[in-house]
Amino acid sequence: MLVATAVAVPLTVATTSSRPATPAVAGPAPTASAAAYLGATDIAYLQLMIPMDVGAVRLAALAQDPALAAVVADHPAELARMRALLRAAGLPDGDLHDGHELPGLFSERQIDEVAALSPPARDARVADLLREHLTQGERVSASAAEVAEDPAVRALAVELGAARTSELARLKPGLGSG
Amino acid sequence: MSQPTPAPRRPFLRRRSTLFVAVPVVVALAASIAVTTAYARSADPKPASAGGVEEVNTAALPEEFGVEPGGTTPSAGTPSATPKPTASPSAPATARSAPPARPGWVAVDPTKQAADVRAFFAMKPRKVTNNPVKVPEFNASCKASHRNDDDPIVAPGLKGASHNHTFMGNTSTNAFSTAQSLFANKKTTCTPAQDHSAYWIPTLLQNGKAVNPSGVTVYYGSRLKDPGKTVPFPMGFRMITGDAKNQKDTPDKQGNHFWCGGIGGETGRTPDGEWPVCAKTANLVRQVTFPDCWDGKHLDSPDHKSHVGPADRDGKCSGKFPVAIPSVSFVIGYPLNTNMTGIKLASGTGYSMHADFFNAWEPKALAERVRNCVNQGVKCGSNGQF
Repeated sequence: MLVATAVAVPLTVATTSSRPATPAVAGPAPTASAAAYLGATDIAYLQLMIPMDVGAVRLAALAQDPALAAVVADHPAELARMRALLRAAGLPDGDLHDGHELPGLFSERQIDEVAALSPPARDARVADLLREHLTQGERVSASAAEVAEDPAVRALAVELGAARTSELARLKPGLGSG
Repeated sequence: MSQPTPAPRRPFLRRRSTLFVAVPVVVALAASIAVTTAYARSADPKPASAGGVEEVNTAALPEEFGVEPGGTTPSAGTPSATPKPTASPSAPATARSAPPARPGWVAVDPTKQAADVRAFFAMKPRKVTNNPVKVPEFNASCKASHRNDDDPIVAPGLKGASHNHTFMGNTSTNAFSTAQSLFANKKTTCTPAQDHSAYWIPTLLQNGKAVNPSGVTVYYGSRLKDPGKTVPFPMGFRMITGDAKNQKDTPDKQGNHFWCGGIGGETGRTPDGEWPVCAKTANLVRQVTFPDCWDGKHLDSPDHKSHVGPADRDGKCSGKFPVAIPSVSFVIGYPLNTNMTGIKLASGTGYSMHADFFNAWEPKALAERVRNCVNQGVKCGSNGQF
């Protein structure tokens, strides 16, 4: 555990005080309390979870069964929190992975394919993809909960991991297939 | 009285003397295995790779980047100085004196970099012999090592967050890999052995089943007018080429294609036109090329591309990217030719092809090759010889 957490640190420690200071680049100099210090894993986690949530919400909205959209009802609130964390660190809060085909992250192409299906098949597909999305969110959050550096991001990862677990339970087998 | 017959010697394994030797050895072995496993388990508790091929753990080292193995910089890795997130909630902010001005940018140590470059150009290039081809080049000749769903550049610390990758070179590459962990793992599927770098590409799948490349040659060359100014990348330098998000062909066909190499070449296309079909005496090939100019200041950037760029119109590195680095390309061969049905990449269509390079060459071996082969404009083999 200690080793795993220490791993993420070197990715960003290179730019800190223990090295000769690199010439400062223009931009806000956040005070330690005012802005989050986001390490590489923190940034990667937020930049991955945001488009994952966006895609899942769009996907769930395509389903006829409102229970599917209900499974990801908390995603918009999560999105607001994750975006705020990125903005506080001076990072863009937009969709950097737009178009990426990663597990649990759905591209425009994939969403269009689902939309083209007829309702019963579409609902079943949405349920399957949501299951993939929630499982992946659980997995990625578990990693981030261990190695993320900023305490707010780490706490968020713990919360989101738990949320994914309960959302998976709500996505009962058979949901969306009737 | 006659001597008693000496008792017959007991079988080896039941002798007391054996026990006195064996027990400490076994205990020591068990202890070292326990330590290694503890590191491995903490870094990677659940090997689970989509391709079903071996998942690789890594013992990560809490050191800073840019440190020579001899630890010559003042900031040379002192693990206890590295802030650990498991400390009290307010610890990360107070453990550092100031956050970096730009998150996502990983800087080199500029003093060390300048010193390394001076030392590099002070090296006398080896006298050229053997009448080599006058093309600035050396290479690393590699086989596939392993596959997993990790990406230590794009998703560091996030196990399983990526589409499946096929890794070449360093056998330990996974989500937790750092320059130090790569350098410390001496096992590689590349020749020469001094190249501990990690190279990876999205896994190619046929009908959902992974197809490993038959081989990958990593060429280090120069496309610049004057290869004499090319310097080695520092330890920990990494970059990406290609666009994993691109699923469509580009109108001007910017070379983002697979083709057929070998006798007979291409005999047709797949029904959707995306993939070539090759003669049975040829095979599927893909080349990806990285930019050859660098900003000289950063080991990485937020999009893993912005710290490097192309040469200018005069074939020189200038402006934002004034430092010439070797031009890296992968030439990837696949054991595929006449049957090209059901092919895709783990990242999507063939147009989403991309490649990652994470430098962990032994600095001396890399410097010698850049100085002797690239700077002098001649072709060397993977052994760095003319």
